[in-house]
Amino acid sequence: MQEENKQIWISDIPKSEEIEFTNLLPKYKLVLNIQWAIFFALFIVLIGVAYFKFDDIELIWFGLALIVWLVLLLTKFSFIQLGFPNKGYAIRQKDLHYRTGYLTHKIISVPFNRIQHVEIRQGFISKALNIAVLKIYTAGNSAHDLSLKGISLEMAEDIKQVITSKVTQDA
Amino acid sequence: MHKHSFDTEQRQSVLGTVFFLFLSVQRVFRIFWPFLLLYVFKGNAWKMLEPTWLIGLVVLVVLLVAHSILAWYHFYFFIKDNEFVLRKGYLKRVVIAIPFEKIVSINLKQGLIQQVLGVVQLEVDSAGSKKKEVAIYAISREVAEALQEQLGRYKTEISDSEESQTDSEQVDEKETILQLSLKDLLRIGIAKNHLRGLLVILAFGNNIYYQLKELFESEITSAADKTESFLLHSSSLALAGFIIFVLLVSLIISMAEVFLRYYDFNMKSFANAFSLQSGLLKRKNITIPFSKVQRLKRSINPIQKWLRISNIQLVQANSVEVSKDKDKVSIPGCDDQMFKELCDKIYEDPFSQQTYDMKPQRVFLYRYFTFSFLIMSIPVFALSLEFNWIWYLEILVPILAAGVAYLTYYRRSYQMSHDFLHVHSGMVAKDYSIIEVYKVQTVHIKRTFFQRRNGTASLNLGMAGSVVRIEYLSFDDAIRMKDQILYKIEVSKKKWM
Repeated sequence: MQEENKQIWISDIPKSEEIEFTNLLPKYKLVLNIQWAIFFALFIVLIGVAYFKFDDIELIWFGLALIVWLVLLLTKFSFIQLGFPNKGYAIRQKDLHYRTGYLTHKIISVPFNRIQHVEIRQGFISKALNIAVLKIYTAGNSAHDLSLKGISLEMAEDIKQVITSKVTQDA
Repeated sequence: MHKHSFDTEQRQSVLGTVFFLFLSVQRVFRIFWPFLLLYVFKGNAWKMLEPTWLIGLVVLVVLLVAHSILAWYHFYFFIKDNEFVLRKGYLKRVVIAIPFEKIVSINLKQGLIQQVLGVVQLEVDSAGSKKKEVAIYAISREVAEALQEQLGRYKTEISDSEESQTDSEQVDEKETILQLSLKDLLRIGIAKNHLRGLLVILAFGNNIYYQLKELFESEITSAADKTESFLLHSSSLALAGFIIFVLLVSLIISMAEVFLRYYDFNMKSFANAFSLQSGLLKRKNITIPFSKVQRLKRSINPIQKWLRISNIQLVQANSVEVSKDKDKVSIPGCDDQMFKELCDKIYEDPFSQQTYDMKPQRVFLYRYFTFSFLIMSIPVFALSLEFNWIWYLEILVPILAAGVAYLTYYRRSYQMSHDFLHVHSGMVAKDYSIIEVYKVQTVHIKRTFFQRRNGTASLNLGMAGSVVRIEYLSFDDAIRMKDQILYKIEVSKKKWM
């Protein structure tokens, strides 16, 4: 079987450094902020209830919980603001990319011909702001599936259209 | 072959009613046993003999029997228009149709009850579903095998239809690849990772200890005091005896596990699929088409190396997100030649292609050292709160961590060829994976804050059924690899499953 000596690195292929990412809608930052604000509000209520309900919790533990809460809150919110400009997506002819993360930069790439199905989701807050999540399922591990967050509902529908047409084209 | 035709609707074996009855009794019991237990424990056990209870019981039994018969009566299966169809349910009607090309594997199973009844369970696993969706619970082995063969044959016809039909003569030709004798099982048992057996002892020991403790609080504490003083004052000989005892028990546990799982293991190969059979109490029968294999893993630990055997795992494309080993098919006791044979069967010429070799950057070694140093320090720290002398063990931790880090770094390397990616990893054991590049589903590239500073990046390749981690490559290599993999996926016209 030595009749062909295939090249390992093909030099003439699209380079991922050249991909230009589109930023997410600024409205999505608002959604994130609201979501996490609700989370932290619930958290502080829980701590407060626990402290006033049970008499045998000492003040120092309550104070410590408050400090931890504050630190977590500050880091989370600063990460949201700082990390937001890095979030973005890109669509090429044959694949889709999503970039995210502040401390750890991540780029997830999914070729269209490996997509199983697509789903558009809208939460309560997103609905009010006309924002949607496009969830893309592959046969790979679900932890590694791609969720395209922070795009308008129309955009989500458009991308879904593109993907489904590509997927059926290939089949 | 035409003795069994599945073109018309068929019911399961009549014994299926008994099995359905068993299933529903089991289900009822599963729901109600906590209440029953509570009731009995409150001292109401004698009340159960009262007429109201007995009448209730009789009604329940009648209902369950009626349910089983109805469920059996309304359960049909047949083959129509290249689809395998199941129709079931009398209150809620369910029709499930699976096109042949969506079938991933057809498995025969036999639980204890089914063994007693002399029937087998046939499961059809398909892609894109959330669980093992289609199962026929009770048919005779003869029918099951005929059905399995027909479903399998239709599949091969469909996948081969574009190509020439020259293979069709070979479809029925079976070839035994691997058969494990008792001696082989013994060797596999010896070479198993006994740490797991040890953990089982610890887990169960702990569990039993706590349960007993609740019952006999005082006796246990005095006994525990005794064992503690025994441990403190006994000679080293007794300690050695204790260690040998624990080792022996974990060896026995490993052996038992091996015999239960791999008893009478035999593996056959057809024209384009493997079929495996094994198990002592629960016979398992699995069919894997070559094309469904997403990843071939091989692992050799030092004892296995000495005995010249290795464990091979085939990761299938499967529907459920696997962490359970169910769809990772293990083939124990393979020697080098067998491994080559398997690879050649599944892949086309995997080893002759020219490769580009990569290794993690040195930073990986230092990071891994820091990481394992911290991880190993945690138990030392925690235990030293209890026993002071354990602090001295902290001296050993950096040495151990260095060893672990070095071995891990040393073992890890990646080879990329035109069609394949070979991944070497492991620490004590030598692990090796081979994947076909076009079967990758998603590509992640990750750079932590530190990685951005030292110019490295990690890749996670999402495969059906597993994730391949490629860590700390130089950024250029990582980007290049990502682009190549994406390109190869996108131009490939081959079906990934």
